[in-house]
Parts: sequence; structure tokens; C-alpha cells
Amino acid sequence: MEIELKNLTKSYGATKVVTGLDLSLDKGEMVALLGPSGCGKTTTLRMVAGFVDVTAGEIRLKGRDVTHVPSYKRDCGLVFQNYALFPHLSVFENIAFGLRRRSVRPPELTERVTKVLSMMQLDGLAQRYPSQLSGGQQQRVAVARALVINPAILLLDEPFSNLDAKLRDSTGYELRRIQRDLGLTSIFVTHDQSEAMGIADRIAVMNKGVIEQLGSADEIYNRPATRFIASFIGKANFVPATVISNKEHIVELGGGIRLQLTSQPLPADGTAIDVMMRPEHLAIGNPEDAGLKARLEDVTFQGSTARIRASTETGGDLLIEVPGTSLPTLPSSGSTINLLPDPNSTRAFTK
Amino acid sequence: MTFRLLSPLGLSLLILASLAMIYLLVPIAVVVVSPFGDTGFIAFPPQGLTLKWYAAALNDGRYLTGFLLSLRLASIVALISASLGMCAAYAITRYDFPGAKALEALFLSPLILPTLVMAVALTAYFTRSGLPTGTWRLVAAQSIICIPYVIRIVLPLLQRFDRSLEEAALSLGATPIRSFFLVLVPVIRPALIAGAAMAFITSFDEVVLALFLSVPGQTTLPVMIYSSVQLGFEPVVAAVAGLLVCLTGVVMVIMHFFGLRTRG
Repeated sequence: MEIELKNLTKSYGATKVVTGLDLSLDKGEMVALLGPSGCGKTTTLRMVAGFVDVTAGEIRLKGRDVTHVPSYKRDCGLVFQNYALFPHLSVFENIAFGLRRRSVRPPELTERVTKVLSMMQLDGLAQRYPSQLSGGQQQRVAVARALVINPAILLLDEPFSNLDAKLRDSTGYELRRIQRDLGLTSIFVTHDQSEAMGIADRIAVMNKGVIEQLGSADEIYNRPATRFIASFIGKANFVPATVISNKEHIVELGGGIRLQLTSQPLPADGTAIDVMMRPEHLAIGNPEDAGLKARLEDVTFQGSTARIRASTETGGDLLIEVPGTSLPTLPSSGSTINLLPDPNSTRAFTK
Repeated sequence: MTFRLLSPLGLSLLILASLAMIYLLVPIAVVVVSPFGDTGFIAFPPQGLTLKWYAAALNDGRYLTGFLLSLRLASIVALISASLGMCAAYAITRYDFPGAKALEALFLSPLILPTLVMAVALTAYFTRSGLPTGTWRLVAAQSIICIPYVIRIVLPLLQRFDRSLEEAALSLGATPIRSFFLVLVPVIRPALIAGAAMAFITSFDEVVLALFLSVPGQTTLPVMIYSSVQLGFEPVVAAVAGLLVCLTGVVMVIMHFFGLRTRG
């Protein structure tokens, strides 16, 4: 285990910000802490970095208990959301800062800085000052400064949130490649699910100070553990249903449609539940099929997909996503459509 | 907003600004120019042309000694005020202690206590306390009035200082003390210099405390000028003042070029 967080807790007076958080990272793994603002993800990262005192629990880095070790002895590389480059130092001196604190002297110092400069494609910018760099360049200097000290772990706090969308993708990919090449164990904090899904090996979805689910992007999207995750990650429709037989995994939606949900255990027979369906797991069937009857309200064309908003007879709104190529064959607004849920991709949640 | 210079508004603004500048600068010009006059009293415009008053000012050892003493005093006061003021401002912004808000308000409000009152109080205090005499008494007294200037200039910058810079330094292995000197101090250096300069000028110019607390035989330049004026306004005194004006001008020019070079 490279990083082990055990029962990590932080409270300010009576307010608990992080509660009993457990998380372990293998060497070279990248885990994203994903969640809405105020979920405790940044506090968790700051506890690992040593900027926030731990109320209870333990932090181990490479087997060493660092719970009460000051941050300057922890050996964490940090990339800040606003980059926190030293404005009075050149790019070279910014990157050399950590090396100088470790008493690395030229020529080794120069060599290591030059190497990381070229790795981050910052050649020729060594003598510039942070204010003379673009946002993307500043971000790369921030990463270079954290990497050059060969940290035990790399911590990133919303590292891409100040970049524009196009740069975000390429920088994220680049960072991922470097992190893999160096075998760096890494935690990064984000509120952007596509960022988390695109970069991390595993995602810890946090809510109200706890990890609600830890898993791969596929797991949290297709098999969300809680209703919060189902609605926070991607889009979700919730349709009321009743358990008919928990032994045979059969539920009944309104209108007599029965579904067999093979993927998960169900509560006792007769329990009212909500069935979650992703928009792309609803297909438009023929009128004579047994499906969810809904009125098509409108269609928005998104390019690769077309998004349909429909309302059911019980008054619920449904979001359906179909391939963009099927746009010409879609029924017109106001007509009744027949929706067929994919039972394998449907999840049940108790009310 | 731009004004066309020859429009009625632009013209009246130009005249107004010129009058204000004349009002502010003419007294200074008078001080510099009048010692060139060949009369035994201050006359403006000067009558005749002589350099003897300026020569006398330069040759009078008392003025030079006073000047050097004031310079030394102001430098020490500036250094002490900048250090202590910086520490106080840091404590107010970083630590949550009872009375922090009150202290901040106290330092940021204009100094209410007249210097004269403080001079009397300090004289009484120093005499009773039996503390050793010496110029340090004046240094301590002037520092009291100079520290608030430093705090007033440094505090807003410290409040706006990005704490993540210090955290970055810590994460890179700098101890808190090192990150203070390697990151915080350099970043707020302009405010520190400005504060120290304010303290320097205040001390260099200060008469009341110096009058009460200076050691016999150790007279600062302002006190020297003050006493000379009381005895009779000789052109030598004006020449000393004129020399100070010129020196200030030279320093300003040097600082201007120095400022241009260090920027960017």
C-alpha cells in the first residue's frame, strides 16, 4: 500500500467535514476524489498534504505513519488549483525551490530542473516569470515543480479547473501519461465527473464527508451503489415501481409492465421502490409492445445523440437518449411513444 | 476619460492643476533659491548672488553631525519599525487571539494621541524608570509612532496574500520559518519597503520627541534647524533646508531609475 487512509475524520466543533474515511492506493494508482462542493474532498486532500490537522484516524504514506508529521517532512508533491507559483521567482527557480530545500546543488540541480522542463515541454521558458506565462504554461510549471522532487505521492487539487475545455482534455491526458511513466501514486480532487472518469483508475465518489462508492468509472456509472451516485454521475431517470417477487427479481412499473432485474438483490415483495434507468438505456419500441407509455414533449439534437424529453401518464419526466442518426425516424412532438427499458442496465433503489 | 486640452473644461482643469502645483511647489523653490541672496536675512526674490550661505551650511560641522545623527537614527527606527510592524501585522492576520480585531482597528485608525503628550509621558516614564540614558530612548520613542505606519501599509497586503503560496513552499520541504522568509517576505517586499520609507521619513522629520528625549550634545538635524530658527532666521538655515531639498530630489531620481530597473 502506498497510501492508506484509515478512519480519517475531521470535525470543526460539532460539524463533521469528513467522517471515518478509509482509502488505500496501490503503487502507481491514480484515484479521483469526486463530489459536489462541500463534500469533504478538498479537506481530505489537505489532510493528506498536512495542511489540516486530523481529528481522528490515521494517514500512512509508504507504510510510514505521517498523521502528525508536518507537511514539509511528508514528501508530497502538490499541484494547487490556482497553481500557487511563486511570483517573485523565475520558472527555473520555482522548479528548483524544492531541490534547494533538499540541498541539491548544481550541476545536479540544473540537470534535474532542465530534465523536468523538457518533460513538461517548457524548454526556453526557464527565465520567464509566472506572470509572463499563459494559463496552460503556468499549470505545467506547477506540475513540474511538484514532480522534480520525486515525491512519494502526487496530490492534485482541481488542477484543470482554470483551463479552457480544449486544453483541459490534452493536459489531462498528458498528466496521466507522465504519472503512469513515473509510476507515481496520485490522488486528485475534482468536481468534474468527466475529468475523473477520463483520468483516474478508480473514483471515490464523496458526499457529506463519506465515500459513497469507490470503483472504476464503469462501476460507478453502470452500477451506482446509492441514489445520490446514480443522480450525481451522468443522468438518471427514476421510475416508481413495486417489487413483485424478490426471489425471481421481478418488479412492476406503473401500467403493468414487468421487468426482471437480475443484477441486484431486491427488498421484500410488495415494497415500493424506484427503478433507475440511464437515458441511453431506454429504447423506443413499437406501439403494440408492452412498454412505458409516454408523451413525447420535445427533441434536442446533440450531434452524436438526440435527447428526447417525454412525460409519463403518472406525470413523471423521462429523459431518453437515442443515436443521432435515428433523428429522421423519431415520432413528432405530442405523439405517444412506447419506451422499453433495458433490464440489465436498470437499478432499483428503495424509496 | 480623456479631455481635449483646448476644450473649456480641459482648459479650466489645466489652469486649476497648474495653480495647485504652484501653490505646493513655490515654498520649496523659495527655500532653495533664497540662500543665493547676498543679504543677511531671508529675502525673496534674492538680491545679489552669493554661494557663501550654502558654503557656510556645508562647513558648519554642527549641521553635518546633526544630519548624520538623524540619518543613523532614521535608519535604525525604520529597521525596527519595519520588523516589529511586520510581525504585528502577521500576528493580526494569522492568529485568532482575543483583541485581534481591536488591535487592528487601533493600528488602522489615525493616530489620535498628540506626539507632545507622548513626549511628556515618555520623558516622565524614562526619568522615573531609571533606565540607562542614551539615544536608544529616542529610537524607542520614535519607533512607537512609526510602527503603525508600517502596519497600515503591510496589513492589507498580508490580508490579500495567497496562503497557498506558503503551503506550496511547505509541501516542497521548506520549514515554516523558511517559507516566511523565502516566499512571504519577498512577495510583500514592496509594502515593507514603503512602510520602512514612511518610518524613515517620519523619524528624520520628527522634532517633538527629539526635543524632549535627545541626549545633550546629540542633537538631530530637525532640532538643530528648529533651534536656529528660534534664534534668528539666518540664510544658513535656509541653505541647510535647500540642501535637504536637493538631496531628496537626488534620492527620488535614483529611486525612480532603480524602480524601473527592478520591475519585470
